[in-house]
Amino acid sequence: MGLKFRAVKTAGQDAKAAIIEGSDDVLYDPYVDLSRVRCHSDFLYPSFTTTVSGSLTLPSIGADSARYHTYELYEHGIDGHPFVTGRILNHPSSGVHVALEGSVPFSGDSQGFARWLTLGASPTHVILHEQTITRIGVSMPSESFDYVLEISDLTVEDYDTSPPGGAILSITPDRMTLGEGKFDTSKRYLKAVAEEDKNTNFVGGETLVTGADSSLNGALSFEYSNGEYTYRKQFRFGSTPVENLDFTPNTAPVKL
Amino acid sequence: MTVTITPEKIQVTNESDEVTFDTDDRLFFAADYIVGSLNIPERSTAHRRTYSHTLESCSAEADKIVGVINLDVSGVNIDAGVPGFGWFNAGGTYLHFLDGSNSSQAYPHGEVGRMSTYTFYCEGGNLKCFETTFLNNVNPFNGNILFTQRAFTLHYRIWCGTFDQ
Repeated sequence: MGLKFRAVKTAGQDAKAAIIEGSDDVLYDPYVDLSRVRCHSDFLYPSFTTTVSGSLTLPSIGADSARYHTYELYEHGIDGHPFVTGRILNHPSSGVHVALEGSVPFSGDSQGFARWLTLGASPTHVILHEQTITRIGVSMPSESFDYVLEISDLTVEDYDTSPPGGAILSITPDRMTLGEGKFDTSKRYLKAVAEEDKNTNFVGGETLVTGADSSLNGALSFEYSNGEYTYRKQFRFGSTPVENLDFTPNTAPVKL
Repeated sequence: MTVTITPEKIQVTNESDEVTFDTDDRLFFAADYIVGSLNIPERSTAHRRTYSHTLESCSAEADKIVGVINLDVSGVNIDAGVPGFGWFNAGGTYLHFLDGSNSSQAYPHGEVGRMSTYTFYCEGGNLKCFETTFLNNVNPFNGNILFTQRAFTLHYRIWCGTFDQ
């Protein structure tokens, strides 16, 4: 079954454009059969335009203390707060690339004391926030890692569902746009790929689960997993784990 | 760059001959972009509960989210969470509060004893936020020292979607 471009403008309704297979029913309602839809102007495609590589050194932290610090990784030059994602390259504990989505434990010990890193954007910079506590009598050394940042052209302040503008469908020798600029092949989009082709694991839900022992005074059990990298602190009462926290996160191998 | 169109495939390549778009790609797409706020009330020790907050309806096909969150503590300075001047990646689980406690050693950092986490996800046609708040007592041998996690608001901007099949 061949692919085809379709575009339609009905009086009183938004124009629609799509790349589809088979009958035009999915042009009017893509949910009729999503497997025949390759791209549709009814949908939103979060886009990325800038890739930045760098490295960061985390300072040592003394024993029995806390550190809350925000690092400025990259001056983005965008008016507003852009959406950002990224990954730690060759994470030191696991050796894999770890998506900087949500809060990620970095270099934790078996007692559950880790540096937790959360990626975001300020009005001027891509930032990484560290939240760390250290154990009595145990300090944390200075550590470095490499990272890649993916920065969107979409910002919190400017983004809404209205398209940027332009033709409902435009094909030139070097570019295709669809849905008045909603989809533009000059940008990059998040796509699921085969395991061997991925940049990282996309995380679609929970990466950290928490449990507790039966008393109100003891330690917590918790487990972080992004599908490849697992970091857990399993408190045991006697020889029995307090709770079975093993879980499978909702992830997919992706590439930008 | 080149756009190549055949009956079976449409491809766009860049100057380096890398394929930047292919109709065989399994793109993440969203039918919903949801803007909202979730108020988390003050929680005090000993508080060990989970909550599933239903936020908004979304496409029934959505099973993944892409988006950002912002923390508003209304000017109260607390040693918890991300700074309010930033918007942070909302994928995975956001760790808001982390602290130590221990039943046999002095306060504060014998064991990890207090955590609160927040996860945005799509399920059954709804955008939800799953909250876990585990705030143990600090030291029973020194009296049950209460701890309070202050109220705050999580503002969110979330695309609810899935990958092409």
